[in-house]
Amino acid sequence: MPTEHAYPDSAARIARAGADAEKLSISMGPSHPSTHGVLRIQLELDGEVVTRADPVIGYLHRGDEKIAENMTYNQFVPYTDRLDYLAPLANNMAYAIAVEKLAKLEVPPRCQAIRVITAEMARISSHLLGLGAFGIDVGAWTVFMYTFTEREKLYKLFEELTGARFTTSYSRIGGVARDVPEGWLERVDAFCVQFLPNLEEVLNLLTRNKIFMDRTVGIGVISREDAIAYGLTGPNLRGSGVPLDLRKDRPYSGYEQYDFDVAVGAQGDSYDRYLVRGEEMRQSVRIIRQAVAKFPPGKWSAEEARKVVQSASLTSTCPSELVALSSPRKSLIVIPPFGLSNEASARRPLAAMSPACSTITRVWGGTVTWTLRSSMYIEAVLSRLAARMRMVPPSSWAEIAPDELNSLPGTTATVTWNPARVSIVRSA
Amino acid sequence: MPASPDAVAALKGGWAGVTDRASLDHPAVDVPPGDLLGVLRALKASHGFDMLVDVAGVDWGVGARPRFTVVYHLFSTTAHAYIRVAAHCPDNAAPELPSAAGLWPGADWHEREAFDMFGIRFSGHPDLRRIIMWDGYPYHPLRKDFPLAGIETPLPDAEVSAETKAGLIAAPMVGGPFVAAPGQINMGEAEPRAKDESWSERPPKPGA
Repeated sequence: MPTEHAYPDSAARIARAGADAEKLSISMGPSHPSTHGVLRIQLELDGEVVTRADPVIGYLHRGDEKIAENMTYNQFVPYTDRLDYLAPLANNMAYAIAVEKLAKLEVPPRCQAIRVITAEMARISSHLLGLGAFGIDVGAWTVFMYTFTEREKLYKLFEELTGARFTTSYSRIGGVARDVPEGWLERVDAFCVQFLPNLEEVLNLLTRNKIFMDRTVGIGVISREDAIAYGLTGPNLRGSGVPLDLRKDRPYSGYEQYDFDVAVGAQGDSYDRYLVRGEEMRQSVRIIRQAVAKFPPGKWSAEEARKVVQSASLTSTCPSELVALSSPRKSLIVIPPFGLSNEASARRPLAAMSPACSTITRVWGGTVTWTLRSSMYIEAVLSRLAARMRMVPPSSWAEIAPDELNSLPGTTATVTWNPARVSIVRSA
Repeated sequence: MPASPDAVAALKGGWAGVTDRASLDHPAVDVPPGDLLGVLRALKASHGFDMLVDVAGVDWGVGARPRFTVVYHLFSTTAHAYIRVAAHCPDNAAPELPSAAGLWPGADWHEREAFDMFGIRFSGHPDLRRIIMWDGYPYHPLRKDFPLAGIETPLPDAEVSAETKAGLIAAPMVGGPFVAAPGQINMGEAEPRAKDESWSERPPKPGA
């Protein structure tokens, strides 16, 4: 029994009529941001067949690149949540890994395991929403209720871990914001155990459902060649039968130690992409359970991350920053001097930083000295200072040799400021 | 990985202008604009780099020479290796490179984005329009000389502009939290919401 889409009526009519065909031009969207993301599609229709589609995509453009240029690396983490708000934890991780690559930072295995667990949970959460919304779009409301119930359980776990359900901001350069809470891993495992049968129930509602299949099988076919030529990635690429998965092909964050399969479609239609996403959730559960089972002890953040301080300025352009970051001397500290010589305003940001700093201890001849309560705060203080600096040519930056800092055993540091240069010296 | 060093060596043998490019991870080459399409075609046809992952514009800053660079990331779906190809635009005032849309249809939108954001033109592109900003928008927002706060511009629709007298104003937040305009060192002044305590229980709520 052919479906309504299989009837060649309107397609044949278009072919016959050619340019004279009576076409209807409609503007679909822009829809509200809380739905599926804002875009408008300028459609040209002949009957039910779309003969031309011109997507207009700029509605939510915020210029994240420009914003990032004006921030320190860690300050940008919350923005990565918003890049794909369905899987913020995966975005946090991708961003952190990119900056760590530049800084040549190695994160400890425990941090890698945390990131893998959270990224796979984010994948499940994202696919669940995708599945639920897909169901609604083809008229299956029930699926949405099931998937959102499961997603809610994931959000509870995210909240325990990160303090936020949606905008997690969990990664830091060189690690994660905090270690996993007591008993969290057991709860993740318990979630996985109960999730699998629930997932099967959801998928059973759709997989052999006549209405669902009528609306997805053979619809939106993307050939293997097209998928590669257009640079598709993820389940959309794998749905077209290309067995490409960076977790397998170029493993990062310790993915090579987990045993999982890559789901691949055969036809490249909507139905295959649905099947791939369903299978990916099962595989994610496998990965999470393995990572929980051999969760490594140790540190969850790289110690040397604290010593990498980027130069930040209002128009910090990438080249100079990257040079500082990719320098093999991990503990190099590069600090531009203040662009403003207003002593009082320069004092304020630090004074406001209790408990990191005690009050100003000395004001003499244009030099202000702060005593930090602990060397832990050096990075925080520097990033605060750096954020308030204007762009200056790198040649006038003050550099402090790492040995100079490391050889001093004290736990307090003194920040000395004068209009020309900032320096930091640890003291006992 | 395995295929890429050969590819770089082969490129350097085939084109005199191809040079090594500094890279922390993947093999990377700098290519003169004239050789760009030839190099990309060779990488696709002979070295298995069948997927164009990204095309990115770079602005090295006002006055830099060269100022604009376009970076192509290619991936091999068989060898699972990346290679990075960069080409500098010869002209700072009217940056232009040949379009790769004939090799990969996926380059179409990437190049439209680089054109929209940086004003880099791609000769031979089938449909070089703005992709994110609207047609007729006068600036290229990711250039280094474009201010973070934005620039006041008329609305895209002239009729609406005439009726409402409204325009696009520069963002009052100067780009968002953490960012202060030059001269505004104090966040309390730069960020008015930081001083707003109407949500807290200490001061009486407005109108209560």
